[in-house]
Amino acid sequence: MFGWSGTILKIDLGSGKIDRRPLDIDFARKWLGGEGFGAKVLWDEVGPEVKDGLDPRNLLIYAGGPLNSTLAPSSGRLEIVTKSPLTGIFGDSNSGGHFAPEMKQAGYDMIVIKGKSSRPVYLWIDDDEVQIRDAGHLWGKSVPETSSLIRDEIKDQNIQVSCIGPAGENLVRFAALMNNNVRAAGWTGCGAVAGSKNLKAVAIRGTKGVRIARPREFEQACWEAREKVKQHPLYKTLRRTGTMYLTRQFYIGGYVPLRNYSVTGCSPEEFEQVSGDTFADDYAVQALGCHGCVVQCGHYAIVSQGDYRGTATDGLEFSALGAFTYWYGSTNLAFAIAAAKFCNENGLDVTEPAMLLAWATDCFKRGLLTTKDTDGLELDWGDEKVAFEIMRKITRREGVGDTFAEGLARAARKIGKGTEYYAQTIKGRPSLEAGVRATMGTAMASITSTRGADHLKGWPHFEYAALPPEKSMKTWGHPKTGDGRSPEGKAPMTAYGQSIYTIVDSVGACKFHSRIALDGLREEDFARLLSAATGIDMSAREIMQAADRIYTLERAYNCLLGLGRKDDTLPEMYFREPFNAGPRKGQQIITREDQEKMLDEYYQYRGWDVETGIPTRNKLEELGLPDVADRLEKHLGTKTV
Amino acid sequence: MATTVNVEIYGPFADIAGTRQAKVELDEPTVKGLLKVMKKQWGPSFIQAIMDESGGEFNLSVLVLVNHHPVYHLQGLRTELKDGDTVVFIPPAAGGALASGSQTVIARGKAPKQSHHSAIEIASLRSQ
Repeated sequence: MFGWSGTILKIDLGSGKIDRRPLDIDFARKWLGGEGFGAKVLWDEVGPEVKDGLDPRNLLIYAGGPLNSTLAPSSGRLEIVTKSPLTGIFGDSNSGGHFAPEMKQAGYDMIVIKGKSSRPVYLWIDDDEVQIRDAGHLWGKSVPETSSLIRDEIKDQNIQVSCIGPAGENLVRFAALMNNNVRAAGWTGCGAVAGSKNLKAVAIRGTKGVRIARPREFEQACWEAREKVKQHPLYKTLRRTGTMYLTRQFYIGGYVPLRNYSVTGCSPEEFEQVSGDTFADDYAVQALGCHGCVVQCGHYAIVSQGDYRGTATDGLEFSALGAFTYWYGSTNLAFAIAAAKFCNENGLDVTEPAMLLAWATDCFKRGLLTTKDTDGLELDWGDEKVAFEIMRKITRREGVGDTFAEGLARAARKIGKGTEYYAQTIKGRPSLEAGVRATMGTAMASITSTRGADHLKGWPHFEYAALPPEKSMKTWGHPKTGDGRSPEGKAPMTAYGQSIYTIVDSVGACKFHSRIALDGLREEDFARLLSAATGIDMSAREIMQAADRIYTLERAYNCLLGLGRKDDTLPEMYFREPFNAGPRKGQQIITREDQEKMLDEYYQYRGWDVETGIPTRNKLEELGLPDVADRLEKHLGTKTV
Repeated sequence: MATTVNVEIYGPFADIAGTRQAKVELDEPTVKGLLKVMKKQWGPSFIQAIMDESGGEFNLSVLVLVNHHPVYHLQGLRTELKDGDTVVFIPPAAGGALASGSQTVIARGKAPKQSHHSAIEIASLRSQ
């Protein structure tokens, strides 16, 4: 087999059984890899009877793509799929680094882990040799300590380690699986799933190489793809500032999520203190990339003065730094860098703790939370000592940390008292991206994301380019599609963005190299790369249909769990509270009527039932999924139309 | 009396212009008028970097905002400027050039109604 490795590794931690299955070529072509493989396996093997993601029957699926470990730009992305213990629905998380290429080199397209070990263990995969090893001595260790100890134990500093920290061991529902110490599969809580299985780490070494069907053609396509990305005007800027560049785009767009988004803008002076330029000028010392990366958006940063002097780490980007500054009401980037480092070392997602701190402080200021709820801690905007204390408590599930370790949505539901209103979540995930409240297409992408609030399941970047009406008409069939203030014509752009990102997360590539971010690879480019790599000629249309199939299956999975149109909604706060600062002051950007109108158009466009939001039988059959329609009808007790 | 506006330039455009911030006096208080002055002050290379081949509109690698609003959703080059307005030139983190030379994702007319005309169908339609 070319492109794909050809083997699926299945490990039952309960019985200790290790099994290898050949990858079926028709399956591979239909589901591409990565996200597609994981979604299909999850649909087949983890049904609604598995109520909690921490149930041993849940699966932890490491899934690579056919472009991993090749010359294709940034072919190092790893996809981890599971039923999320955070949201209770489909969960996937995508990580950079070097783990996925090593998995490919070892000969595996997927590692499917089920069951629960009776004691802490880690997996050691050395090409064909697979061992379940004792991890008693690793339990309680931080992420860097774990990686280092395993490498020393095996006496190979080149192995790749994906592991959890104390947060995963303590079943913090937003615990991450970390590789290369700072690269996180951080969203949806896959680290907690590993912890629930007593799985501390997966260590892997591969030496088998990758087989490319048409090497010369593939190499040519790779170099052209790289040049395409390098020609974008943002290429050098992203290398300099990383994703912190986005802060300026939000600022000039007139939406800065200050202090739990209770304030919608800030002064230029406040903004510059935590801008991408400040990060690049004062802290970043070296751009770093994942396997085969052209852009290198990750940065190694050093704090050279102040309370955090000497703090050094890498993998820093907007989700962490933006959340710990803007959302939490801090103007201290050094604090945000130290907080991100704490999260990475302890195996916490970086977003959720920051959003929890922002929400809790907001509620404390409003009198909805008191010191009785916070173990005596006085919460204040940007308070650094309190932040580290609460994160420490979350990691160990101590006191208020035990409640917060359930995640923002669950914590707010448990505490109640009106705090739910200020918890800005969609389907159980915090809504970090400020544009969700400010631009229509971004809102649509996030409320229809299959893993809850998310700008990484289909960010409609075209809206950020503010396409002029005539170009918008030409491209999307509607003059208002490129106008973020209008609810009209958003469906094609939203669905297209979701499809491109689905392809990217399925083939093992990076979103920054796709058409949507730096006007990089388009569906026809991916078709060319995949065809040359696998030797199977695939058209752009076939690949886009595969993306549609994958995304629709994820939607069907959530519908099987009882979700539907009622769950596709923005936080109530966004409908009720106009912008109160910045250039949009006084404006109510998105109304509930706007949302419902956009949903009508989106469902119709996707081929999902407009009333329920459930994929129709026609649509599922068109995608070659009649069995999915059968199961939905049987389980839900209704016809799927 | 001349109108004075604030100009902010980011990314590679700042390198080309040789400045990130400036106050510019305009006799013709529109975006088009601003471009004329910028061409005079900073030379033609900046204008070439941000305009399309016809020279009649911006290319899609630049996002131009007046007081935080994209000019394309105001009056384009005809957008009027007042004293103290801020005009920003920034490369968007977006697939800006998608409409130029794209082979795919070309939808004409309204979004299809039938489910079999999915986003994917639209995405694979060839430009006419």
